[in-house]
Amino acid sequence: MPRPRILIVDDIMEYLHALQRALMDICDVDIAQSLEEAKNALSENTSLLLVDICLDESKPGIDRGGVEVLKWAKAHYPKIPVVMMSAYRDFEAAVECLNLGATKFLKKPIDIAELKSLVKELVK
Amino acid sequence: MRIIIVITRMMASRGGGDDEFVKLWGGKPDGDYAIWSFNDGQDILYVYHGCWQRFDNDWQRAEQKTVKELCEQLSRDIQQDLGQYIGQSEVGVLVHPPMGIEQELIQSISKGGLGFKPSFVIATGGHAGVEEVNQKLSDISSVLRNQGPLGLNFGELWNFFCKAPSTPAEDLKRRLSILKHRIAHLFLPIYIDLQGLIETGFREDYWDEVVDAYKDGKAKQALEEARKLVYEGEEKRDTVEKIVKEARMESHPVWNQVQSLLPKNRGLPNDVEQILQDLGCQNKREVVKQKCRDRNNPFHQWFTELDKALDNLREALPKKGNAAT
Repeated sequence: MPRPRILIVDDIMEYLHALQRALMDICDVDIAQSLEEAKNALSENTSLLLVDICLDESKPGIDRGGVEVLKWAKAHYPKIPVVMMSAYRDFEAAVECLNLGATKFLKKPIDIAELKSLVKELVK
Repeated sequence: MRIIIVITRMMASRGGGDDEFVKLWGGKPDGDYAIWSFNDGQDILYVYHGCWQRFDNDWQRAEQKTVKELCEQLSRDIQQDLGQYIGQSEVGVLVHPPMGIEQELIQSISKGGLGFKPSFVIATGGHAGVEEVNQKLSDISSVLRNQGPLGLNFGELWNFFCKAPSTPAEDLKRRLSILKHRIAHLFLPIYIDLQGLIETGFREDYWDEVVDAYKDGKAKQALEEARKLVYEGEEKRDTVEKIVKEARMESHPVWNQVQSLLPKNRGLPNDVEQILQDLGCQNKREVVKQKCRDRNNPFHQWFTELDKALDNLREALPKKGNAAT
């Protein structure tokens, strides 16, 4: 079985790198900071997409760039599971994402052990 | 002696439908101010006719005036009308500021931008969360029109405004949410890396990558940046301390908790600062490993407590129109 490949979309580069280090044991990790970068990085080889709802750190609770990534991914790669995450308590956004086809919604700070089991489960 | 200064909608058109001086206070369109005295002239209510024509003859140019220019104009006019009393009085200001510069104008007036340090400065107008202040102004103007100053108790008004939050409650909560989010994001990478290290038993190649990420004191820089987001300093930026002061919550226990978890001039509790420093040092693997054996390590505890304290502070911010207790 090929090694799973996941794409993580978040606007904080240090956070992307930390997640990359944490997940490197179980999968290959691509990273993107915006919708445009996500469009370029997403492919048939992607096993899972992990997206922060807010892609503009200066507008927490307002910017929902991650929702656009979710919509685009579901329109072009409907079979790839998408997990959304957010540091902001935004239940409305969480419900919207689940209605748009997201598989799960994670609240930051993320528990790495939980994330790893989720990745393993979703890429089976 | 006490003076309450009410500055009506600053970008209204003189005599137009949005002119609060005329519509709310019953002033004449060409008037510049209205004044009422209370308690044998010991207290004064002064209503300044705010309208863009007072700041420039051209509406667009008036709208582009800087906060400093607006304050200078207000200060000149107020000094002209009240100069003899201002120096010997406690003064409170209620102002309906132009859109987009509300915070800046409030802060400037609070710091003496009108030539005196007010006892309170309150934003009025169509902002969410100031309905009670707007309602109070509406009640005052109604009583003045029908009964004159004798119908009002100035002391009660003064106390009401002294206790009202200076900026809309919803706005304070939103601003604190943004700061909390920024502070959290400074430490989230460290939070993830420590979990990853613990899970792999501080595996050497993992440690090398983490050291590389935090070399040159990057983790400590995150801490310094967090302090700048919490405490007021040289830089002109929003801070948690600023919000706490605006909400008059300087002695609130939740603010005390935030200060003890992230002190301004002292180290962090439980050696957390040392852990942050050691993350960027190649030869400190064993030291950090000893301190962070499991999920319940000092950094994890500190980070989650700080996050919770900021959440609690946000929740404790005053509700619409009421001061914090």
